[in-house]
Amino acid sequence: MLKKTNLLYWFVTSLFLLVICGCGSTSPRTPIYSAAGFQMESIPQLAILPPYDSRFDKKEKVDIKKVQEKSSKMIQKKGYVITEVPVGVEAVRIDEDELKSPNKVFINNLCPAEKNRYIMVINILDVSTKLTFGSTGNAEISGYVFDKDAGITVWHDKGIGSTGQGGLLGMIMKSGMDDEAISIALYNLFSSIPEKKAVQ
Amino acid sequence: MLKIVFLLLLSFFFSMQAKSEEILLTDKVKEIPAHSSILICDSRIIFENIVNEMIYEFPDASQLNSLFVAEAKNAIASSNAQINIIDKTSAINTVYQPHCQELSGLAKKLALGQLDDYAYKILKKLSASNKNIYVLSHELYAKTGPGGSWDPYSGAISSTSSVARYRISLIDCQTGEVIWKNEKYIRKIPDYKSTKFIGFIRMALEGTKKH
Repeated sequence: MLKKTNLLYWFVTSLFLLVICGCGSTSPRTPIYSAAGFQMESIPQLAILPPYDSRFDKKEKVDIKKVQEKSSKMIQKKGYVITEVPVGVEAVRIDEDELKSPNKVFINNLCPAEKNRYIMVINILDVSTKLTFGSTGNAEISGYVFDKDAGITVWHDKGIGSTGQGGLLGMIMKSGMDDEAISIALYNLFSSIPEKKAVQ
Repeated sequence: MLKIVFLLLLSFFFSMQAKSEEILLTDKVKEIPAHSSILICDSRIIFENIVNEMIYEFPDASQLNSLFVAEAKNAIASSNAQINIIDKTSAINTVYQPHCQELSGLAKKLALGQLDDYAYKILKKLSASNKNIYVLSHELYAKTGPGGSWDPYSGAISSTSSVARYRISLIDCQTGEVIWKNEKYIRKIPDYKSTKFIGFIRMALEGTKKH
């Protein structure tokens, strides 16, 4: 019985991912912030820092490494060269307001050892699941790309993920709702990053 | 039929278990001496659209602030009647008046308990006029987003992602030490006049009664 429901869960999740991948060819939406004259496609290499965990409700367990891996895969699929900065022992909480209006010192202190000019910061703001007659999952993730040389933010956007299924099936699927909400939030977050065309 | 009733009861039971509010952090370091003064700053009230991060003005912000200040005053007064409570109104024509405005601008840093040199300077100025003075600072950060939904064809449901966080801190002006702070959140933000919201604020202020 349990195996069947697991299979069903993966079938529904895969179907959902296929649908969103199919929608991936549409033109990127406008991010919340993009520096004047900055072209995301011009980034030669992007370093992704371990995601910050700034949630005030940490009831749901979030695998930081998994979030970083998912993010890397999604951006790599758009044709970008990615470097993953290794995940430390514990995810650090960062104030979102500091990320929104950083100064040069703050940007350099984010990852002093990183040689890449462009660094991406992913900040997990909220992840929640709810059990009713069914279950739902919500995730809120923000992303920033900083130019370390110029000491400025070049890109910033936010991804909201909301998912859920009603009925008994939905109740059984509760444990997977947080993961699915995170995937949707990341997909929405990176939907404003344009695909990088291969250099001829 | 019985199975449906059972499932409905089961879902109701589970939804009752899911608490929407939690006290996250309560530090109790030291007690406030009797006959001390507590200056209650105006609260920082932020309402943000969760999707596009647009900050918008909450129409009843001044009433909401009055509610926070009144609840904070009640919480302190019920714990220790000997404590002198000062707010923006009672500070008029006193030495505290110019500092009230300055402290309101620092509400976020004070509520977080993250003091910079400028904040220390203001607190020092306050403590120069009264050695036993403390500042109670608070912040409400509400993120509002789309509500819940149900698609009858696919059975897909979603719940609202709206959430509000209330932060309070009590700081010793002489030392700049955060002697107590609390942080509490509520999902599915209720009307601020509702008993649920007032209960939420009261629970967040609960720790002040221990001092």
